[in-house]
Amino acid sequence: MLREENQLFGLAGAFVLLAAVAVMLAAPARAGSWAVSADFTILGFAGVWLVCAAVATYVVQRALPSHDFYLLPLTYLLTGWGIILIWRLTPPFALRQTIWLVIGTAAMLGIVLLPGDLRWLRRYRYTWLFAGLALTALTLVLGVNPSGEGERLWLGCCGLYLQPAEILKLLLVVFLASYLTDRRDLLFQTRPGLLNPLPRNESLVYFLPMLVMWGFSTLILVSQRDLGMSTLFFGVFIVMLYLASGRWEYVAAGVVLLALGAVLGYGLFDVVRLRVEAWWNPWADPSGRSYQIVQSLIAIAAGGLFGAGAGQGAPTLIPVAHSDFIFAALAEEWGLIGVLAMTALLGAVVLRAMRIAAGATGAFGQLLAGGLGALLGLQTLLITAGVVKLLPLTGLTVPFVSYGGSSLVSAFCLVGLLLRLSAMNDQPARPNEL
Amino acid sequence: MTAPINRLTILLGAGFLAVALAAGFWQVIRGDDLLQRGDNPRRALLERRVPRGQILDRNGQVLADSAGQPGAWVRHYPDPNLAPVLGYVSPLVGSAGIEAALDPVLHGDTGLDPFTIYWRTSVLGLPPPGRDVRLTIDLGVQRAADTALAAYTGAVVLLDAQTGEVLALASHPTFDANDLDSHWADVVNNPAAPLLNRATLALYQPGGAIEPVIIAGALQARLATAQQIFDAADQAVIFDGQSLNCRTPPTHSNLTLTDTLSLGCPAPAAGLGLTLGTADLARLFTQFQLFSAPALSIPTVAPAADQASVFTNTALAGIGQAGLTVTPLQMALVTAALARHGQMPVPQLVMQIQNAAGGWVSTPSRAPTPPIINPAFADQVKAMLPGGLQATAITSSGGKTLAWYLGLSPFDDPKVVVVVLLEDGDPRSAKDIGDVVMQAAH
Repeated sequence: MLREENQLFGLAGAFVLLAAVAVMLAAPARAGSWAVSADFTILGFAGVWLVCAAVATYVVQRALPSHDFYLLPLTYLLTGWGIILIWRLTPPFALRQTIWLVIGTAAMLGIVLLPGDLRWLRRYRYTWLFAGLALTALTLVLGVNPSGEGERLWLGCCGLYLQPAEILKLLLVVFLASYLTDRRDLLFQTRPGLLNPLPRNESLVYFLPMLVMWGFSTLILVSQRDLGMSTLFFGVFIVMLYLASGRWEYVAAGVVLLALGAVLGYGLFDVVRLRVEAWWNPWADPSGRSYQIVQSLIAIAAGGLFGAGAGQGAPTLIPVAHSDFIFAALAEEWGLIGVLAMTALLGAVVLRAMRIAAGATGAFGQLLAGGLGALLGLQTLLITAGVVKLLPLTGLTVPFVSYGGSSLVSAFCLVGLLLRLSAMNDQPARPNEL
Repeated sequence: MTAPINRLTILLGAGFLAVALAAGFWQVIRGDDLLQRGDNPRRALLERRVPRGQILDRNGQVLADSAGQPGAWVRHYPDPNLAPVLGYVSPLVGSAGIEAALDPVLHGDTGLDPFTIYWRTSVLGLPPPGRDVRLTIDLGVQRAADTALAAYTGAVVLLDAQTGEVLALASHPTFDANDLDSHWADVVNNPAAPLLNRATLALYQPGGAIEPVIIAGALQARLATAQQIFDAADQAVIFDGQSLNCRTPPTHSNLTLTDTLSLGCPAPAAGLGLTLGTADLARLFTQFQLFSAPALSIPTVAPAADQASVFTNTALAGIGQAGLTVTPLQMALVTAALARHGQMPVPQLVMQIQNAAGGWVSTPSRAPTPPIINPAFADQVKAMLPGGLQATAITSSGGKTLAWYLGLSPFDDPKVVVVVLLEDGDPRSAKDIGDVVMQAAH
């Protein structure tokens, strides 16, 4: 097991280092002359990445010998590729992303090294969630946007910016997993009769705390016009209800509610209307409101099968390509091959989360791993489907890859939790717990 | 909980597959459509790395080249007045004119197989170098035209009457295609419409300038002869509430067709229009190819043939005040046909193109087309135009007067023809401009 992990890690390292050299040589290659000197900073970032990955692998192998050995190589391959893409798009942001990579690695290792099992997460679920909510609510008052204008979703201090919603989304999954595990029997007991899948009247009351918590989260996000996060929260909520109950009715109801919400949002919020219109017919206003999506589609088209080559395309033409539109930048320079590879890598992380969920011994572990996997999968789908014009755009990051400190740290925490859960699977099952 | 987890896994997997398929759809199936959009600057951006080909005049003088250094080549036009011909090329606003029409040559793709282009552009990162183009434009004549036209709104076209080569094509006001991105908004919003090529794309009321065509039609229909005397030739023609008189009042009343042309008397041509009738006029204008856009490398237009208003009033059609409108380029071709025994040349703007090996390939010369009119009649009409033809036209909008001048030189065996159009000018100035430009062509 550990040997396989080391081999996978070797492959990831080789890929990231080669890609770093390629993207570094892109500048002289573009000019066609060595008079234009290569910028060596990317090698430094790749070096820091290598150290982080090596330390993380070493520590995790020591602390959790039976952890899922796909997760770490996948995580680091994606983050390394992400730093290279960001460096190519907006070089100064690669430094910040590398700093966040160090912080994220530390956070992940912190979760991995915490003594005991994950009972502390379950026990204090309200505390965690309230802390997350409080931080998020704080952005309503103190919120800023580091890029100057736009939705103010960040809390800033001393040059570092935190997007509390990124932490809140993890805490919400933890809360839901914990609550659903404890109240599962009460929540989903049904009246006798096949045709009546609705919960008993008396069990409806047990839905309340959950609905209130989820409603709070969504309310804050909606009042901030954070479309992507509120959609993601809703999706994760529905998925976890489905996982806990096994009933497709929740999914059906969720889809109907989502459609209703979309119609309402279309009528009430300009943001929603603009996004939907830019999605439905971007060609109507290609130089105005749908400039970004049209330029993104052109960039994707410019990639073709094999891409323009690392550093050889012109993805900087897409506004804010390093964040929401990193997938389009990838498509231009790495082609369909790169898109398939990255989609497969992200899909593989989700798949591993689902394997961990399926193999978990307790309901909490199953729900937590499944919820985290769903969170990762839905977030990836929402943003990538938006970039390829399958769905309206919701401003989210591609996990591990996009520029964004909170997003990266949150993704690393998620991996840390998954590593813990995967390591518990092989331990002898203990009654009643996890 | 295993079954829901498995179903969820399958659902998410299907979502990832859908994203991959959609990316493939845009990259492979819709790729070419998207890349050809005007707001895709990638092709133009490549030319910062590898310079675009030069555009030269017929004597090898540079009309457009790429200035700067590798990695930062910028398109440069030494003579900005040539913008109506050369157009522009920019990553931001797209391209037009010769820059657009000959883009595959100037960019360097023509004649290379797609694999070579892919290999050089994407793998080596060094697109094939652009290749040069030599136009029929004569920079000296062109400068004369631009200088003469500088104070006016209008157009000048000077053709080699025999070959159809465009030696000068000017349209004013014009714009500076250098550093166009920085002043694009001004150019677009300018009410004087500097982006409009008035020589090839603007349809003007022909007015008296159409009369040689009407007379040719009358001659070939045996409705008139060159020596025929028209009594009451100085009678006014009523158009749109105003009476049109001879431009120069005649000293005697019995005028020949030659006299009416040089004095600018509308009545005889109105009468001929009336006698020819709707069907013959339609045939005549088709015969002089007034309904077909001339085939030039840069865009041209022609009026629609099916405009009912063109012929409803045949008397006004005879004096060019009915629905028919023409471009100065079309009038230049008509003049060339009358000057060269009925042989209408095909206009030509591109003389030579550089091939991948660096040699010059001439544009294939076109096989002579049959005369559009019996040479005898063409010669008779030409004989009526010893000093060229000055004419005016009244526009439907606000009664603005257009001034036309059709000139041929030398008169005995015309080598070049010139057409000058001035918006809101007088025919005398048009003639002066035309004569100066023809002078420069000799």
